[in-house]
Amino acid sequence: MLNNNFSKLVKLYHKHQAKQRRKYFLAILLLLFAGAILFWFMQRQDTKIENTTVQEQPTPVQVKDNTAIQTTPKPTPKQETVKKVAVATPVQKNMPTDIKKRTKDNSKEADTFQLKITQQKNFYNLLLDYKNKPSYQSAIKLAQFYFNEKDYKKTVKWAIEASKKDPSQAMSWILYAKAKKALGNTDVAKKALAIYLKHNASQEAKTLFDSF
Amino acid sequence: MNQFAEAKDLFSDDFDLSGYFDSLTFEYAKKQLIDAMQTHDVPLVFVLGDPGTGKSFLLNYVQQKVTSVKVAKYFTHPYFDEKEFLETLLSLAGRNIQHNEYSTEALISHLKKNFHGLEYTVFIDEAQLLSEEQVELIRILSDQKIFQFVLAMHKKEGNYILQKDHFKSRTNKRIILEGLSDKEIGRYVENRLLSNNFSDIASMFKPSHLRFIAKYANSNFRTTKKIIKTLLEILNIANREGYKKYSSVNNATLTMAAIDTGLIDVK
Repeated sequence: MLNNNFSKLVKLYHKHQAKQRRKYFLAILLLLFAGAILFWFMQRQDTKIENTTVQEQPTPVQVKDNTAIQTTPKPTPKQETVKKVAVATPVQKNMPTDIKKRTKDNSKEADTFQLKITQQKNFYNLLLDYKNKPSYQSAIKLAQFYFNEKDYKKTVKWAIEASKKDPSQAMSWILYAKAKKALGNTDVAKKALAIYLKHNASQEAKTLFDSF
Repeated sequence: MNQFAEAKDLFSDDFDLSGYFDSLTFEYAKKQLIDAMQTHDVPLVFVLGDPGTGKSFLLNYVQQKVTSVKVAKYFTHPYFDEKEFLETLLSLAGRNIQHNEYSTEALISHLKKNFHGLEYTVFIDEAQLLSEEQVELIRILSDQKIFQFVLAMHKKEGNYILQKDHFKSRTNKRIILEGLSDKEIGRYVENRLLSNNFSDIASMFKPSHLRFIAKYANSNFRTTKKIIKTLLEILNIANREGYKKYSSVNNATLTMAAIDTGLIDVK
């Protein structure tokens, strides 16, 4: 004889099954939650590393003449986070009702788009280079890249980064001066080149100085 | 009556000796007990084991099946009155004793005259229920080598009694009955069913089902029998009433059996 009648036993069994299912569901939920936290944590770590690489405050350039430094206003680049790769996707247009021949202008648009992608790729390669091995070469390439892009503020920032690595190199000073001039600070640009030329000899820097 | 109804009777919790199962622990305990009884050199033998491990079955088996040893008396439960106990033992010598005819000392003296050299063995089951005074009386009788006593008791209580000074210092033997292994449980179920021509039912049990039983029975022989008996009762009802889902051995019916026997608590 059973302790419970059969139908009651079946009910109890279903209750037990439901309980078990709830347990499994909770366990899976817990696992997913733990996974999400782990993923979030890892993502956060990655972002931190990226930001610390780019947001580093440039230290003032050390030159022998202290008085000269005092007169030169220190370039203070803004803290900026790196823009994530956001390749512009072309706006979807409705299908034309009548088929037109492709004009020359359209092909130009396509060329520009391709170019943008290549530039973005270059930028990321340069940034990656700097992240892997922060050196004068990698920093000056980034400064050059921004200068070509006519982003003068960032040119100033990376020129400072480059000159921190090697203050004797002319190119960082030249790019700094050119960018400052482009931003309308010709005096600052001139003073910076004067400081550099006081301790170093560079024909290119001299020519630029004279042109101001 | 379908075959499940017949088969479930094979797993009743009784001392039917046809349900003998040669598990490793049982065989070892049996051999130790018979050896101790044959050599007559140990006055006190303790058979220890958790409830449902087969202590009572072992005593029954030795008393009924082993002819090479002499079991004078088998007390299935501890006696309540000291005098009555001694009178019962003295009556084994063939004497017709009236209750309260002799004093306790006189009874012991008579026993001494009739029994000696641990030739006869007295079995006492559920000995964990004995009082301190009763244990002391048994100790006196065994010390004077009047009878050899085999006391079957729960492991926990047995170990507690054996820790006491008057047992610690005396010669005694401990025989411990352990639980069944998972494989033994499978072998038991199979043997029991096959030897009674229930091969159809025996073939319903898959290794995973036997593992389920072993897990919930916690290696206990009695619990194993209880689960299987309940399972077969469920199958019997399901087959009779036409519940197809519950008419074979599967996880559902096994879980139901465990719920009905109280091994799974569904609140």
